[in-house]
Amino acid sequence: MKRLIPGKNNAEDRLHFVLFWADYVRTHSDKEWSRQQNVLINAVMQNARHSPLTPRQYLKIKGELRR
Amino acid sequence: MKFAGKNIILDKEINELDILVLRFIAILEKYTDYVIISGYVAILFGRSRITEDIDVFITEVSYERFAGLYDEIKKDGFWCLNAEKGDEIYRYLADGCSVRFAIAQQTIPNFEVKFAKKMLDKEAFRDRIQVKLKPGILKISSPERQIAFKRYYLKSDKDVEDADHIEHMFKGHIDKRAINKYRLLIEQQP
Repeated sequence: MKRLIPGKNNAEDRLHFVLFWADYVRTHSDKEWSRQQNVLINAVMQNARHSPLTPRQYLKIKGELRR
Repeated sequence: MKFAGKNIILDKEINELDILVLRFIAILEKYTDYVIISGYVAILFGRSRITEDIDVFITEVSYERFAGLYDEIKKDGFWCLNAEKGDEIYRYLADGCSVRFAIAQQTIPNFEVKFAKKMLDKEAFRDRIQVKLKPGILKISSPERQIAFKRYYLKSDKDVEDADHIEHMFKGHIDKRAINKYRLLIEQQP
């Protein structure tokens, strides 16, 4: 597997990681990459349950408050 | 990941977001047809990020049919962030707006649901693909359409990175002419 090459700036660094990770996903079993991805997703899902935002506040942030 | 025509079999471990999507879609598809687009599609194929909303196009339905759908959505523990009354929610949809549904008393993550009214929205149904997960099937927009939509229409850093991820992931299974065709269609949109 290719190594992750550091970028010269933030944009390049991010692009390198996106391609590095996509390569990892391509070359490893679904179970292997999803186990790692799920650590991130499940943690955020847990936190989302405690979000203090009301629908009104959320829609205002999104610029979608219609009334 | 196995490719079989317009079907993809994913042997991934299911996360809490997938469970939520499968739960909501199971209700939706009793009442209308759907296609999932945008961020969740990239995440489904391994992108290392989370999303606060899952974008779903549905085919237009009558108010009576929508009322049945909304009733079941509520019974299953979801609420609408935009309005409480079904006729008000339906009016938003009929006007071409999207509405958001989340687990009751929560705001994120939520399902951003919209009637497919524009030509490009309707076309997303035509070439969609089915992703078979262990607990169920999800219908998603084609990778080519996703790449074009994110790279040439949405264009944010996050969206361009999603496009890069999908293109890299589907290397050898992507029709680059189709991406270009969608790009031209996007650029012709008013």
